[in-house]
Amino acid sequence: MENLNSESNIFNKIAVRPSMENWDELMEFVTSEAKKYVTDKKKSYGLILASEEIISNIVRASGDKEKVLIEISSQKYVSKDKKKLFSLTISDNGIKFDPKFKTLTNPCPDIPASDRKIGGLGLFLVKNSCDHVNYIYQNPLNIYTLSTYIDSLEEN
Amino acid sequence: MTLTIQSIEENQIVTLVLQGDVDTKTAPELLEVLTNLKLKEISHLKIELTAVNFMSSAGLRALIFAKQKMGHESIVSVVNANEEIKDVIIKTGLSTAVSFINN
Repeated sequence: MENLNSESNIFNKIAVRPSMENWDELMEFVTSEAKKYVTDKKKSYGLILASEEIISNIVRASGDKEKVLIEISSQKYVSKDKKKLFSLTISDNGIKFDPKFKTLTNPCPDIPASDRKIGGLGLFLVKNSCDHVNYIYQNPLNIYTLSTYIDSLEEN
Repeated sequence: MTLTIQSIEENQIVTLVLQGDVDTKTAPELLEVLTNLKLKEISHLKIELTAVNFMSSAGLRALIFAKQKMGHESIVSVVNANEEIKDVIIKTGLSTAVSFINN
């Protein structure tokens, strides 16, 4: 997120165990925050979709559910070139997982469905549903930041 | 969010009418319904999405699963998908396997 983080405010935050029991609570949080701050329906949907894919990975593969926490916070940013962004930052202290966003490509865009392996679509959608995606590992945290440009810093 | 699925079978055409979100939590229910169909004998599978606002990759995987189990000449369609779901299907290249129907 270099060049983006010139100024930020955290609006809201949620921290729970990454289990299916908490699935609805997590999705209600990201849906509510995205719809509140992102006016453009397509951008709002993209942010919710990307969040769903990351949360899904964490719920399924972060390790010991009794020890791991998933935390999601919403922020607004003003970039150095004065563009306004809304971000959802999702972190977990589970197994380290680098999605390698920079080198990620569509798993099989031109392969007929009959020949496709079922999998690999989720991270492709994360990368292609937001204006910016970023991953860093700050021991012991996997930190994913999903950002989209917005027109206004005011909520809808 | 819950997902309800109504199955309407008429000759070799099956329509699944979905209501709710198709995500990591609910997609297994769609997959279970698809698994219980005799997919090889279906000529046209219609997934009716009028009352679906959201579909993640978990839902797309269910569509791929159905297409792979059906015969080569068979058709999978999504009916009345919203613009966002259509966009995701196109973005992932699945529109070569899944057709769009708007009623």
